[in-house]
Amino acid sequence: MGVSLLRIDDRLVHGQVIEGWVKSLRVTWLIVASDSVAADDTQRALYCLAVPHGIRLECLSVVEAAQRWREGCWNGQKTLVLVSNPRDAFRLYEAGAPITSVNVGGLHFREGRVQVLKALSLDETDVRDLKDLAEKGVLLEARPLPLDEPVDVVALIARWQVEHEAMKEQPR
Amino acid sequence: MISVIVVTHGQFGQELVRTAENIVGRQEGVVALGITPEMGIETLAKALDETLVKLKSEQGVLFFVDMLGGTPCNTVLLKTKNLLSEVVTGVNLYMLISSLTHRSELNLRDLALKVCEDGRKAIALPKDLLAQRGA
Repeated sequence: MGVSLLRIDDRLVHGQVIEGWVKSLRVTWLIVASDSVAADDTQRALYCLAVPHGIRLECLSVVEAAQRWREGCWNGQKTLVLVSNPRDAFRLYEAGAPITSVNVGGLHFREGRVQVLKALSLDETDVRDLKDLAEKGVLLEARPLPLDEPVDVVALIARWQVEHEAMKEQPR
Repeated sequence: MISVIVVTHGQFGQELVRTAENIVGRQEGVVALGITPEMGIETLAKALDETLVKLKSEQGVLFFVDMLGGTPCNTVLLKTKNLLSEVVTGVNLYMLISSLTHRSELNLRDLALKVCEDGRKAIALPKDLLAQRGA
């Protein structure tokens, strides 16, 4: 038993992750793979506050996380790996992490993103990285919480493309 | 006077403030912000910045958030590193009312401690309390 779930979520450690995924998967180790969090003492301390007793939290750079994953450092644990965007998920893959599936949790709306689900909005970079992962045979499911119905991300991307084209054609 | 900002998931905070005002009367310097499932952290952070400009107070700002470790809590902590402020988690109606009734007489630190104490006291099993009194 190594990595139980790799999740993309721009809120990283928050209520849905702790109350939803950590509890239902009985996660023992929580890994935040983010260069900016790994380099920021305040953010690291903050996420430690959020984690219940008995669960180990580590904040690593993407490259470090990929290395530990590849080397099987988390074997014997139920590990949940969090990244904040599809770019970092793809960087994990490129750095050798044996990724077979990705839970696309939350990428929230901001200017330039097209909303495809309630808590999932994508821009061109997101779509490119998700497509790259899909092409490597990685399964991509959009699912905010364990009991939600999983949605196929490749189908969402097709819908995204239509709406993105329409958005580009709109006069500003 | 100390400003009070309530930051929660959804409309919970807005309703808390509305309800508290129904009990203790209309208040100056109290604002509630909510984060919805579709909203990004940047949007909340921006709303927080705008609110802080409006509610700036020399006596400081008391923040209430709903959950330790939740996005409202995390965002507030990151945004208020260099601000005279206290952050209290687990907000409930009793704590909010306590803050509104004591904020003109206590300093920020004491107010934060007071609302925590009052909040804890207000969480009880009232049937047990009645039984202790032989009721």
